[in-house]
Amino acid sequence: MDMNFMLAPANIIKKQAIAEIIKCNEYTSKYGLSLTSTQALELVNTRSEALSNNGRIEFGGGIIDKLIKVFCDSSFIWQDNYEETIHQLIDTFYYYKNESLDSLSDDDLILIMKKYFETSCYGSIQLLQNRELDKIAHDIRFGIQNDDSQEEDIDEEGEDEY
Amino acid sequence: MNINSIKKNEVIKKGRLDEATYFLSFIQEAYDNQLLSDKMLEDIQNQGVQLLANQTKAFTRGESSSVRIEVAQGIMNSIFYSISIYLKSISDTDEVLSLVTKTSICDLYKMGKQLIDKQIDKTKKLYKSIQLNCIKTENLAYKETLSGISEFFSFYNPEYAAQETPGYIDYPLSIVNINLTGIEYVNSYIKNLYLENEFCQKFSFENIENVLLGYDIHYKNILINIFQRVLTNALGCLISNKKAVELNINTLDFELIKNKLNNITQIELYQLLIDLELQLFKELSIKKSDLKLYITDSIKEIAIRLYAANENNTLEKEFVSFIKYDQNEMFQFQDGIKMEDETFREIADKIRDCENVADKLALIKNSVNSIIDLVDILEGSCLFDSEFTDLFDFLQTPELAMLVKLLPSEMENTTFEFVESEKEWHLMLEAFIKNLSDKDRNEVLNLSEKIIFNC
Repeated sequence: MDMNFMLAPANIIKKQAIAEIIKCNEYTSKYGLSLTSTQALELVNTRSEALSNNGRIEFGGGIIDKLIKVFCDSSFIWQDNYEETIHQLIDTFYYYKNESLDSLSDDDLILIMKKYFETSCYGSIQLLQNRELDKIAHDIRFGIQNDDSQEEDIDEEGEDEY
Repeated sequence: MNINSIKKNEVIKKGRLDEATYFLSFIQEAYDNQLLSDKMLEDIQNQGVQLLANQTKAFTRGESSSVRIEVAQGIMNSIFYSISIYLKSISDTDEVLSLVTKTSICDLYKMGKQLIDKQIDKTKKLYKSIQLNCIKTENLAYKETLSGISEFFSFYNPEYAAQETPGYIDYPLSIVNINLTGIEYVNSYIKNLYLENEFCQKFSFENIENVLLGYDIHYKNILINIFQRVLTNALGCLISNKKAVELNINTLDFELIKNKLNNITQIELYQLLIDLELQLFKELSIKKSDLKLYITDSIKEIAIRLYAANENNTLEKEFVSFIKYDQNEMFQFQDGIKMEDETFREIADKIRDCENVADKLALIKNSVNSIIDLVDILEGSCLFDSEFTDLFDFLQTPELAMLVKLLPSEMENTTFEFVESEKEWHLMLEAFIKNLSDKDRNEVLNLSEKIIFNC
């Protein structure tokens, strides 16, 4: 019998996570977005893999439902790319929790991701990762304070484009 | 037959349990002995994970649903440590088994935490007591540990890192339980340190210092257990029919010891020391049982060391003679006036421009009037290869002794042992000294020892 306590209730957590994702359909349907049970299972598996790849552990359902609720109203997400985008956001989220040295709360990181995804990155996960989040992580690591005016510039830039 | 004398035949033997991971090793033993079923074990695991989830959530203040694995592992170990503390407080393992199967992990954890809090309070009081009975010594590790233990109380985190032992606790004790960590370790450490201090208080601090100096002239900077050195010399005094409190082992005493230990077996040596122990207790009025036990346990290790030293003919390193520094024999060196920077640069340039070493030496002789300037010349790329040796040959004994004094070196008796240095002149000086005749070398090194340098 394995004495490793942290491996114990993986199945229970998985079922709970799938149920939470399916529940989100009630909210996301007004944006024309929904996920099947199979797709939910795939997302949970992506989550497990992302946690493992980033040397992290999570108790409870996790952040998938939070990501869904925050990103479902995005201008850059529609039913065709919904599932794939959430997969990529899950990977991105756990990677940058490490890169930011756990100094950002889940909610703060998700909001930052949404902000830049929606504005300067124009729905591009690659831009979100390689430009915005990399810079934020770098600044955190080297103790560089972010200038509030920079964030204003990003907002203005987004507006100018329209 | 006295029914009270019948020992319960516990299924789980305490001796088989690992002190460092008590709870886990208990569960493993119970499972291996089929005292815990798969279902019971799974239930314990589930409870453990739930507790870990709650603790992790509290750790992140609810702001993060995930943590790095090593963080979770640390919190888990802290939970196990707290539970272990509680379970260890119960001597009957059958009772422990009953608790583990009938009490929730959460409750076991809470009880463990309460015990930890009580231990912290007790240990803080103990810490105050060792600050009062501490040995007056210049040994750095001892002094820094005495103040470093306070860092433990400042940084110890019983909530999420109960198993950690923060703080500077480097001074080596005679007896240390290496299986302990966290508050258990510090509590045990301070208790033993208190006992060591109590023993050493029976001797004058001056004599203790003389023993330490006799052991190693650089005792201030090395990791050395003062208690063991004092105890060893005290036993040596008893072997040579002197009072233990005198501590000094002179040449005659040493010869007497050597004769008594001639051809002695390890068991005989140990028995000899145990017999002397009673004399020691009587002479020093040692009555407390914990101190007596500590001395007895320490003697076991001392006996092994003395036996090996006796076999290898190095007993003089164990039973040491006092080395006293007579201030009247010390020399206060007052350096000459250092050159102005510009003047120094001119002289250094001239030395570099000289075509032969004789000219260089003449220039140094006429222009350099302080040891500090001389060292700057040595480090200023003014001399190369054998020119160093030529200079050292040129210098008088006091000047050589001063240069030796300035080296980052350790000296062991009359040998010249060199600690790493990047500087060429250090290496060249070492080689030069080693090549001197014994007489000249001893003269330089002995003089160097007596110099007190003011610059």
